[in-house]
Amino acid sequence: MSNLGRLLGYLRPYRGRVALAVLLMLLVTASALPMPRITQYTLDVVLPGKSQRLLVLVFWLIVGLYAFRGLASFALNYLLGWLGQRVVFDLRFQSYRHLNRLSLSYYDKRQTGKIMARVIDDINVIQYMITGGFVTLITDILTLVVVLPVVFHMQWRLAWIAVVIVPTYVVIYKLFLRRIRALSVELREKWDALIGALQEKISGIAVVKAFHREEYEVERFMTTVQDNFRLGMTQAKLNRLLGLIVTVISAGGTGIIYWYGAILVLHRHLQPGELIAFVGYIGYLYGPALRLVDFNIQAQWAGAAIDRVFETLDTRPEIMDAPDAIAMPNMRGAVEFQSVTFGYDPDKPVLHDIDLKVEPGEMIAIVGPSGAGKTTLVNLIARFYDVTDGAVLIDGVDVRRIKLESIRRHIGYVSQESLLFSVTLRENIAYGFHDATQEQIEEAARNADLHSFVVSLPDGYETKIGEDGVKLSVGQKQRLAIARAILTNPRILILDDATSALDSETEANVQAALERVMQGRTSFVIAHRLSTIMNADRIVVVDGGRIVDIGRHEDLVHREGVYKNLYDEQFRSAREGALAALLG
Amino acid sequence: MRNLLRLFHEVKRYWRVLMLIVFLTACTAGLGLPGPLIIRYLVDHLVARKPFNIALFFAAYVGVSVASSLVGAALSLTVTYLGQRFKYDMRRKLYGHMQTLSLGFFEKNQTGKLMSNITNDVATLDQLISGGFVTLVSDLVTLCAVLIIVFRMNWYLALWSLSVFPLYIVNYLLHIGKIKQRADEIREERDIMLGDLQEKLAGALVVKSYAKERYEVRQFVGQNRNLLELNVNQGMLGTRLWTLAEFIGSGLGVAIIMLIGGRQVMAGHLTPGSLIAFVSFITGYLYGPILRLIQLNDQIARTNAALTRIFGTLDTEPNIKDRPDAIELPTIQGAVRFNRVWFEYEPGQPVIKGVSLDVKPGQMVALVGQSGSGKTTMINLLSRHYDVTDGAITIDGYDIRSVQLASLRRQVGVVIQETVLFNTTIRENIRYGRLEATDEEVEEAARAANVAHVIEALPKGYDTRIGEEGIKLSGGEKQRIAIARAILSDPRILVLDEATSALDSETETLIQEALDRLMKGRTSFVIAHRLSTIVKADIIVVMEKGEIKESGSHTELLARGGIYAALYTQQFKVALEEQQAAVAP
Repeated sequence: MSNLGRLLGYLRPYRGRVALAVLLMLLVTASALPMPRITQYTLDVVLPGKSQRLLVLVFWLIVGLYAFRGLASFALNYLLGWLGQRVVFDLRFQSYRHLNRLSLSYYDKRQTGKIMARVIDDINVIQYMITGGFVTLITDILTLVVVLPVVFHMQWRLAWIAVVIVPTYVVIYKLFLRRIRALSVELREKWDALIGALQEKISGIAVVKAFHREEYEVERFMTTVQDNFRLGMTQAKLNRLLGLIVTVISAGGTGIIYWYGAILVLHRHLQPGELIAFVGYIGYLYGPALRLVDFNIQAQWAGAAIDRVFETLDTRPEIMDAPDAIAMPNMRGAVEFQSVTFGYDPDKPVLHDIDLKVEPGEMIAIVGPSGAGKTTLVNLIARFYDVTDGAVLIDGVDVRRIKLESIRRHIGYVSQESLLFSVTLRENIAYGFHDATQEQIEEAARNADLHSFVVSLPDGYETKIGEDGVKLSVGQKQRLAIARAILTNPRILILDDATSALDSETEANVQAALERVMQGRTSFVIAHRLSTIMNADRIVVVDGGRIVDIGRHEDLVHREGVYKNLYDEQFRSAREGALAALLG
Repeated sequence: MRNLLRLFHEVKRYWRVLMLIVFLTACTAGLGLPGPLIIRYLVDHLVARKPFNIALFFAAYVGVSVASSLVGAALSLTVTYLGQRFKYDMRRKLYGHMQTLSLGFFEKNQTGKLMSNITNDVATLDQLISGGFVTLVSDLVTLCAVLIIVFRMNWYLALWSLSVFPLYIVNYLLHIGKIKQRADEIREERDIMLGDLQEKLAGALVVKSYAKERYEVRQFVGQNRNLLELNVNQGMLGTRLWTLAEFIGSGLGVAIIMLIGGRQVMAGHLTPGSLIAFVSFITGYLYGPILRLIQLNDQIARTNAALTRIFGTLDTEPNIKDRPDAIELPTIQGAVRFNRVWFEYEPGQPVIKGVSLDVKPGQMVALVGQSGSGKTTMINLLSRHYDVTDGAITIDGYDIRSVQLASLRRQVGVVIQETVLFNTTIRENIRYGRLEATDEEVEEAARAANVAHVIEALPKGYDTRIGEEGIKLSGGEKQRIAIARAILSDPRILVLDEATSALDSETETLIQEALDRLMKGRTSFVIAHRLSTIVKADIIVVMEKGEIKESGSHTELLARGGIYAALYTQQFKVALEEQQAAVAP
């Protein structure tokens, strides 16, 4: 409930408009009241009095009343729409800004789809509750508050009958509510299961077909559809039954009012028009009473959404600029690990006591079996994560004391997976440096051995990639990611297995270009294919989260150890083949 | 319109339910009409202070209400049944049909689009059928009945009450164009926003690497500001339309009836009760249905897009089908023959050009070549995901087009590049290879695939769930589970599209051992990136631009000094140099 209060806090900047909306709500509610009275007046006074003049007055009264009501409700709805959209906008903006502040560890733990659901679906639910449920609730309460005195004032004896019926209503509804709610939760789950199964089996169609499981899959899918069918019918039956009971109660109640009212009219305790007007007002009572219960469901639903949205907003970013963080406009590129220990989960370190000093301009290769901690090691340089113990220094300054933006501007990072965006090739290459000139972009593309491919496309650099553009091969994506990194002219270049998908020929080309680019820059290269890293100034061998050896290729390959094993294993077959060829 | 006719064709088979719906609709419409007449009776007696049988009135009032809501409940249940039944049948039809379509179809269509075909598009149709269609029937019935009643009650007043109609319709028509246009704009803007959001959240690593957080937030805010304006504008238009409609109908319409009707009452041409009944007839039963009828047009237009998509899928012919005279492929030896095979995805652009290849049972074939040379296509042709354009592929002398697809695929096992595992237990994933396999057989297969020790080390062992809510497996572990699945299915011919580039050597060794075990005694085709595989192969096929350039064993090809020898030396230059250095002195 405190979260609800916090949500209402989002309306504070617009309190003037909120006050106006409340006033308009009052007007709209009030404008519904005179109509039954006008009918009554016509029946009881105008018609028996045969006054043409009063009849024309009635005409203008109705037209005027509805014109007024129309104007007020138009203004109200416009205002509410604006407020709802505005709160959505503010919430989305805050959520997204906050998501961008959160560090990578947040994204590691969550699926993109789930994060999206918070920014989009949850906020939509909230908007719906603010402009829909909340407003109806207020209007209904206002109506109840105004109509109740009116009916009691008109005929207190009839009013009692009406008021006694309302609780019966609510009790019945409450009885059904639990089952309806349980059903809709179940229905939701079944639907999610259906979507999940569908998604999995369509994207995994190759496996389904490889094992010839088409019919089996159709049968399996149909059982989930069948479940949905069954639940949907049960829900419909329940809803109908409830509707039936409610109708019977309200028809009976209204019938009793007519019955008793008719007796009163016949005994001249009541005017005929009054009875008709009274029944009209009763209609105003039943609706709100039902909706109040309804609102309960909606509020619970929205409550969960509100909690989730605020949970995101309350997640503290693990990586933030320290208050006294310094900007570093120039960087030489010296990197030092000082007895660094790190674990994604602090109790389970994946790097132990790493000490490494890298001079500006050095090329460092990092090798080791998968899971050794290679990627983690380079991720600490760009401060995607903070060390658990020890320190990472750039140019002698602890990275936690440098502004994040400074660090990242000077580091070019090419990750294992090449992530590209659905824009043009040019915009993708220039993502890190929006003001790059055409020459600079082409130069970067040439260095990544991508230029000739790009110019072979009809639209050249303006070719759109992604969903509705051209599809790139994995190798082309990797080269694009490399071009993007080169373009920013970084002092420190990190290549995390960035050439794995290239065939040998292309790799050799890219390699040659990269060696040129790496001249004078500090670079860290992770590679599985040892042939790509033999020219490194130093090779750092990592195993089990520790540096087990450091040296040049020539030294390492003659020492017993992890590197020699890796090397032997990778080249064994080549040797065997060569031997076989040599021998005959 | 053709789509609509076809939809009616689909719905026709529920004609019994449809007849029931029409009947029930007529009943509801009929039961709704006495209400105002009963009130007229009451008012007229009350105004004249004429005693009447109040109990009878009560019974009639409550009876009619209850009866009409009973019929209404029955109607609504029947309609729900029709809708649910329709969705059920349609989804079965669509999904069943998709399963018969070949891989090419799935490559061309994104998973998301196919899913929304089955979920959203079908739901849209249901809305038209159980929403639009039923309202159409009931509105038409009600409209006719009410028009007859009000004209018989007082034709003069009826004519007057219809006088605001043109205004009503003009108001609707004036707004609806703009509202629709705005809705399209919103959808477009929203799709862009969602696409960007998805991409940038999934690519958080890149955004952060380039310190572009603030830039992205600015972009997002810009898009959302546009959306905000569009949405507010859309809301304003909608509000204006409905506010004006309410004013015209409930305000102006009722005022006119009161004025004209009031004069008639004073003149004695109309009773006060009739006037009240008139008002409730007109507001409750006349304006609503007419508006809904106009809107139906709109709904049909919206449904049309969904219809086109659904029928588009249903009309896609599976390009691979069993021939009517297809025979079951008996248990095979595994002799595979490509006989001058040509193949093209797009007419005029052959990707396989006259390839011939003869493989004896139990042989291992390695396919080597640059990407785009046709290796994967060869494999897809063998498991008949596509049919050859010319020439033929035979297995043990049977043309694969002349045998039943099921019997072919049962004997051709495929382990593909991207390992696809499903969101269930490890056991079920392995068992997918052969559904009737016992637990022992599943575990046996896991052992053969070198993955048993990994699985057994998990707290829940084979019953560990994998995927979204379960544990995450490494690439190598997934690949070995996929191999276990293939081992369990025990195919005679094995196809491996191996991609082990991202794995370290140790894992690779484990996988290689498992693969060696799997290939033993089976004819196998391997798209090889790894030299160790190639060296061992009985036949190495070097492909270039859809043609076989060289084939033979490793030693033969190396001796020949052609493409293969060049590829080989280039990739292993360093190792070879050292080798020679070691051998030379």
